[in-house]
Amino acid sequence: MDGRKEQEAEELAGEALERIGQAASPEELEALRVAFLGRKGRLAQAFRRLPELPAEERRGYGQRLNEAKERIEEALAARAEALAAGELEARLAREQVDVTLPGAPVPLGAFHPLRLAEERVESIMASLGYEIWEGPEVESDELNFTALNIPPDHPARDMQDTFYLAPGGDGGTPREAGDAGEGGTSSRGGAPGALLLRTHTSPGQIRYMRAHAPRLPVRMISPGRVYRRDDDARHSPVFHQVEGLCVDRGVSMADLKGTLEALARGLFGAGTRIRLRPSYFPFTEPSVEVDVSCTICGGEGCAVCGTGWLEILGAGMVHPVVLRNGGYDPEEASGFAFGLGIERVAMLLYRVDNIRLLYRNDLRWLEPFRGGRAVRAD
Amino acid sequence: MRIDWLWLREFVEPPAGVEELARLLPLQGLEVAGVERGPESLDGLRVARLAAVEPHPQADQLRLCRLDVGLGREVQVVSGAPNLRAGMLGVWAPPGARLPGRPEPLAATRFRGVLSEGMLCAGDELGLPGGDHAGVLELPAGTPGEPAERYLPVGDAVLELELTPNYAVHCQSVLGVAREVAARFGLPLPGPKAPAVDWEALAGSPLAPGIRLEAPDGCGRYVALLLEDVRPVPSPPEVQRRLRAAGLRPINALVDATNYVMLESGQPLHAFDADRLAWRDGRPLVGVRRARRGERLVTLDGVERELSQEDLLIVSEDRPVGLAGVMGGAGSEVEEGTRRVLLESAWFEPRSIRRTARRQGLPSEAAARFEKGVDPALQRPAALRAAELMVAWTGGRLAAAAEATGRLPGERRVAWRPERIRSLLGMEIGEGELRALLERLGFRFEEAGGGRFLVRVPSWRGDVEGEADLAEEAGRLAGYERIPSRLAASPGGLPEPDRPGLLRRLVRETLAGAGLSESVGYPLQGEERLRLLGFDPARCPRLANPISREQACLEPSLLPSLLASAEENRRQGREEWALFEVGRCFALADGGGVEERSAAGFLVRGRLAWSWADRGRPADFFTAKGLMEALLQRTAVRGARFERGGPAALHPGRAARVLAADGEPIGWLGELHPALARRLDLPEGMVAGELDLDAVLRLAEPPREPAPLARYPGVERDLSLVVPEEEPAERVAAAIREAAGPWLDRLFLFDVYHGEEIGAGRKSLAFSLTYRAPDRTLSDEEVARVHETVRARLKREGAQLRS
Ligand SMILES: [Zn+2]
Repeated sequence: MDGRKEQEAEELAGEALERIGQAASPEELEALRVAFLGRKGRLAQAFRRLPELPAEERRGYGQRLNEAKERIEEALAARAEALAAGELEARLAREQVDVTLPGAPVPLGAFHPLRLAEERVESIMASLGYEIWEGPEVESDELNFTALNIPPDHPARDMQDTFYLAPGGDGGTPREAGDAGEGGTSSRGGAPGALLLRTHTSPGQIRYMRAHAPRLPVRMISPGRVYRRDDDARHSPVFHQVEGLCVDRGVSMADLKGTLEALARGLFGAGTRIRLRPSYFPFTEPSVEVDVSCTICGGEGCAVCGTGWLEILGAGMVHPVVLRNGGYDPEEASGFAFGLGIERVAMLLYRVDNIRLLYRNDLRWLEPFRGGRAVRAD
Repeated sequence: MRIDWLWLREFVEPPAGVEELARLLPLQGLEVAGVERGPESLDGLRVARLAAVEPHPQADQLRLCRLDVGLGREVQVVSGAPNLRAGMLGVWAPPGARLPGRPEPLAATRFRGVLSEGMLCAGDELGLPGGDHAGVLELPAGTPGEPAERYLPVGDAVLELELTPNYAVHCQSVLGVAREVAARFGLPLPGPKAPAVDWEALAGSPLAPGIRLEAPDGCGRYVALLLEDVRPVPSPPEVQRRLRAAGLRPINALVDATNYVMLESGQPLHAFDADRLAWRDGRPLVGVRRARRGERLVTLDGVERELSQEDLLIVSEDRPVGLAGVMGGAGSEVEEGTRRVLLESAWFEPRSIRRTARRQGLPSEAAARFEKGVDPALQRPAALRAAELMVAWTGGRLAAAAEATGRLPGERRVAWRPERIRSLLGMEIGEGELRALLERLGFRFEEAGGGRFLVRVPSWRGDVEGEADLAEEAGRLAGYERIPSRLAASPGGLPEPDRPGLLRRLVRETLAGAGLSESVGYPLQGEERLRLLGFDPARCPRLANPISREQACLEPSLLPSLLASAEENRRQGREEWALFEVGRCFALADGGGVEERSAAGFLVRGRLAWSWADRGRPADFFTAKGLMEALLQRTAVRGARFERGGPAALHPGRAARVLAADGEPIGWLGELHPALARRLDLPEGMVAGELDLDAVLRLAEPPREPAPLARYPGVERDLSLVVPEEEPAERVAAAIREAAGPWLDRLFLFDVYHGEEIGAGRKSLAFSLTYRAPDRTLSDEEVARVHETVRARLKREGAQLRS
């Protein structure tokens, strides 16, 4: 047994392992693999010399060489793994970003607070089983007034309150601006067939009832734009309302109160209270103003409410004349109706103190309404 | 309506102060706008008699007054009041006295060198409601040195009411409000104050006025009293104060008496100088008739008015002397020399008065009451009350009376069905209580046989017509807080889906999700502006009575509103905006009438998004088209096409109409015309679009059954070709589709290129094509064959294919 040869195999393995341990890159490692384990590598050369050795030496030396090969392979694998881990770590470090830089923007527009408020009313009423239905903005004198028990010569029909349309249909004839005279009155206003810009969403009551009679129950809300001929700091000639109507057998003021209480709580929070005060509308009897406990002070009294109560809507039991005009027999069915100003609701929900802001569409003002106000319940 | 608190308490003594009442009245329907409080006490002020008035040595405007202030003491004060008169009684505020509204006690002061020991007070200096500064306040009685507050209306206040039209019928008077207060507290109902007289004797007088009712439909009752030896002297100070507190100007005792009784009872009255009326057979003549065509009348305000045949006139032997219920005529009114008065107290038909007052633009106090309908039983008591006051304030006597009646509203009776009232109110309330509540308000119950009852409506409640009104009357007095809340479960099933609303919501969410913010527009536009924006105002509905020229038309598109919003943002210094609106626009319909349609519009300038990482791209035609395509996809409108064209507001080369599959125009989009931007003083580079949502609602298709997912691999090939600039890409794509046949699974335009190497007036289009068969994998040869067919077809059509 020649210990020298075995010593040689041992040294080969030792050298390989040392150099592998020092390899700093996958490329270097690959070069070492080729140098030691390649077809022309040092181990291959040693194996090729095996047959030249005496038989008794051959076995022991071959064994040693095989052991050396295994150890080198293991070392290569271990070193490769270590290098890869280091490389990954370095890459991760390289790829670090400033997380405080703004993200790539996903365009996000804002919804208008008037629409947000309207949607909230709609969703509350829809959950109470009310159908959402819209009527026309250009309405007949008959439906806007007469059918709603607003007789001719009623103050609500005054020309200064109602926009009438110039008699038309002569679409091709050019006309000069201001023919009718600015701010002038026209004797045509109030003619039975006259067209006007609806002064309230209430004609929807008649239209909806006529389309549904004699079916019961009737549960409808009708949001939309309405027009009044006045323009000052507190009023706009164009504003928004939601009409509500419920007709069924045995509907009473208790139903009116319960429904409007649910609406008020849905809008302003569970602790909201409501109060009914006698009032007057030609199309309801009894008629009430509905106050809600102030959303700002909770009813204690503050600069906004004064008394702790805020007037937000008008309501009442549908007048028998209106029921009949809608196609229902007041002896059979009764109902309540209400009209809610969306501007008022939006101003309370979103703490808007100047109504004009609602109509300016100033993006600086609108953009905050991208936020979660639409889903907040309080 | 302003109600004086002390006056109110001549009719009812409520167990509540004025503040408490102001809190309670709104809960029964009388809106209180405010309470104006007078002083609670005027401690330290004394009654003084003006012993002598002398000129001030230094000032023409001032007088020296020697006052007897009791116990033989005399003081001197300086005053500039015009009504100083030796012998009159006034209110003396000595030095050291405190006056309302003055933080410091009064001091002795010198006026132009003359010492004033305190002052003689005017009504406003005492803080009295209705107190004025026209002169020193004259006391009706008192002894010098007595506390003045014994003779002053301390503790007075004015309740300012805002009456709804139904309460205006019966609450435009002290009496009316007193009735409400009495009902509130269950006190006896007050009635009008009227002296007992021998009416028959007055009516039998040879002086009894002759009344001729030619318009009995317009005048239900006419009461005329004749007073003799009266004088138009000033009315008592307290009366003047009450008139002023109510907002009326005192004139003289005769006129003031009519106004006083109107405020007190709600019955308007008119005093004629009887000697300026026609007389016949020793009687003054009055009558009521409609005006004749072309007839004219000069009213008390000196205005000559042209009358309409609907106007109701008061005449004296056919000569017009007043516009009935609205305003008296000039030439018959009470004046300085008046000694005989004909006092008119009438019931006029409300609508007639209302029309006349509106037509003549005369919203008088009288008309405000007549047009609501005064109590038809009130004319005689009110006239007698006014006569009583005239005689008390001026001397003279009531000499004669007459009354004529025309068509009066009848007494109203409503069937009594307490269970119906209860079911309307939804309140637990017994029949006995319901009856008691109504009786407190003056309703009376009459047996109608068979255990049934009728409710008789009091004469002053012209606003009460039926059962529902009775429910309101009982309910408001019981208190609506007694109504329970009930939220019935819905037995009616699910409501119908609101398809237009769902569509609007989808559209709004799509546009907001693309970065546009919602605008709520103003639909009234001026003709000029519409014309400027390229719309034809003649096709827009127009208002007969606009507030201004700039708000005379209903907009035919959302673009004018959106541009207004853009202008607002521009004013705030913004350069970029992205706005949308979902709303209505209007057009004159062919057969007359107005067409309304629901539309979605947008207006963008600048980038929808940008950051440090991606500088973004300013919006152009293709931004607008992308938004439109997104809307069409979201709303499931299939087969829509785009063709060149659109409204005049757009850049003619960068505008497109959107056509539905059937060719119907449903929208437009494009870049705004640069000249328009200049005219509006807005920057160039705006893009806009509009989609008709009514059309979308009609066209939107239900979801299709999804196509089966591809089971075999597709093969992708690119195709690059050069065509003339004006060749529409869509035509090239159509040719490719047609040539490729059913194996073309997907066609995608991925590049458009202009450049020198392809030549001017030409563009390069690059498409990616995916070929796929549903039932097997296509072989390379099959793909090559079909792709070659496509290339050949394009070559044949003149396209230059790039390798
Ligand atoms: Zn508050």
